[in-house]
Amino acid sequence: MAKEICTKEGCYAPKDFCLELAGPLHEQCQFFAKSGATEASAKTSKKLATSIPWTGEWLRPEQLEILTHRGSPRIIGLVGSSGAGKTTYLAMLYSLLFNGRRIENWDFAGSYTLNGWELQAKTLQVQDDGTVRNPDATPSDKDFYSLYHLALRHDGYLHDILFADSSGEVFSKWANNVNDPAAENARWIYDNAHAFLFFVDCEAIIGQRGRARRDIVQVAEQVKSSLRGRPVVIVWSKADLAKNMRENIVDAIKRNLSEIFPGAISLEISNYSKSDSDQLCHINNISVAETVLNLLANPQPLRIAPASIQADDFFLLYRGSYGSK
Amino acid sequence: MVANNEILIIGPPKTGKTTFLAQLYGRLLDKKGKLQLASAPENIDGIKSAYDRLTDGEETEPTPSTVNLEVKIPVIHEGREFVLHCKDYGGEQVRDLIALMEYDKTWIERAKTNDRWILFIRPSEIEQRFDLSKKGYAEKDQKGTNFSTSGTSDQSQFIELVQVLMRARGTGMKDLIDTPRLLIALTCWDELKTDSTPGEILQQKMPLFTQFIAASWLPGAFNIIGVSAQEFPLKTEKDRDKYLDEMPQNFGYLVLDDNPKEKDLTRLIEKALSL
Repeated sequence: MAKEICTKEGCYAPKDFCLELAGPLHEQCQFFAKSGATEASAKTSKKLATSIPWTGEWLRPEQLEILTHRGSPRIIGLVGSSGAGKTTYLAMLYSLLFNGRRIENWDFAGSYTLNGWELQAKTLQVQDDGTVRNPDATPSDKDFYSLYHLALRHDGYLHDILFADSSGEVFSKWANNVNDPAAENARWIYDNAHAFLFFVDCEAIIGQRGRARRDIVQVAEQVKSSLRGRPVVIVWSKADLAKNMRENIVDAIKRNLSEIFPGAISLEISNYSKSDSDQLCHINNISVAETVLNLLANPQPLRIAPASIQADDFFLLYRGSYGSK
Repeated sequence: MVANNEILIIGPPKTGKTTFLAQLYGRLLDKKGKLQLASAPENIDGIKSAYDRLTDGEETEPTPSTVNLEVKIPVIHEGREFVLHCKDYGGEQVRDLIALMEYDKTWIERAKTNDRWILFIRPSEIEQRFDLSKKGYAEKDQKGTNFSTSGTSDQSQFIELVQVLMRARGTGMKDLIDTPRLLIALTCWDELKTDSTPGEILQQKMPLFTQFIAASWLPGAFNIIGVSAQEFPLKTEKDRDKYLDEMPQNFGYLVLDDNPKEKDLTRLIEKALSL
């Protein structure tokens, strides 16, 4: 058994964060400095230990091979402006599952990114003083990828699902110029996702009014450009504030979105609940995941009904199995 | 697939592995249970000190993390004789599996050769989280200074532990799992002071873990039971006297589907063997 290298009890630096300094700077830690001798012996016994291919942290595109050996993971891209609540949505989804809510017909069968989910869920944890922590903005670095994994069993089959999160800023850059070198991760998500959650921030509509609409429509148009029939679910976040939005702006956004994504399902979500089984919080946050998963599992085929034929010839009138539908 | 009869008890520190093994040994010696001692084991060093402590009315001591013991006890079950391999080890080893995300040959061997796993979970020690999905509303802490940096939750650690051990065994999660058979033992049951069933308690304490097991194992290849190996803590003189007067083999019980207070602790092994 490879033992911890640091002399401080319970500290696994450098493999993990230094417990003493609560960060990656273990070299400056006094406990770690004392452990020079044990480090050497740990190195020799290292050969006996087999590392597990996943760490529990969120995944990057080049790490997907830990999943691809057992099937093609399905990627759900989260799209929306900065602060629209994309990461918070993931935190809430995990918290709801953690506390016993279920996605109907999609049973949780594991995750290789448990630590990543846990880290986000902590932002919703109520602290001793009754507050919740303000979540950090997702880094807007073009190399920052965070793919959150869920293994879900549906109809007896195991599906690997990845939620691809990135900063809203990167998506705004991408919406202005899809070839922007600073928007590489947004481009990757757009090219590789199998479905999208399109976030509309109710709070931004209240604050920025018409300007919010312009940004939303711009990103939406860009998402539509090479969509190739991939499903989109529209998520109105912070919907507990929805009544404060100007009606004319909401109507305009709804009209625009229904033109851009015809037939797309819209759901309103919130992190705050008024009752034990709150529609916006408990039911709709789960419904967003359920809706997009069901769309992925049962793609809606393009139905082109044969034009009705006016003729007396029975050969031409025969419409095969379509005839009875 | 036919599973072998090798049993592995998996449990983080303080889940009562050693106490259970000591109590099990006492029951086997007593020859009143479903499993009985067939002949004296050659060497009981591993269990003896824990067993002696209980007969003295003392609680068992934590097993040091580097300890890996195996005691071979010949037993008879329904007329059939076989050797029960009781493995005890420091629970810290289980914690290290997920803290370091690596395993050594010992654990690969344990995971591969034992087809019947008993997972010890102490529900009273499972930390309950309070977050926005439970509470209606909370102010945002704008400063972000008083954020507690506690590690990952117990629930996620148990999910990770099972994933890691399945990986060490080389068993994929794609199809529903038949082997290893999994018996989840909720230990220190007396601490809960509850009338709920073990299944209800697991669902209440760790719903996502419960969903994970049910979505990964074949129905019938896993089961959930309650265990109170000691029956009460040995903190006071009075309680210690009870152990001295009436002897350890008269304390401890299992919570089973067919009997909510089964005094025969050997039935835990029977349950693991009958999965």
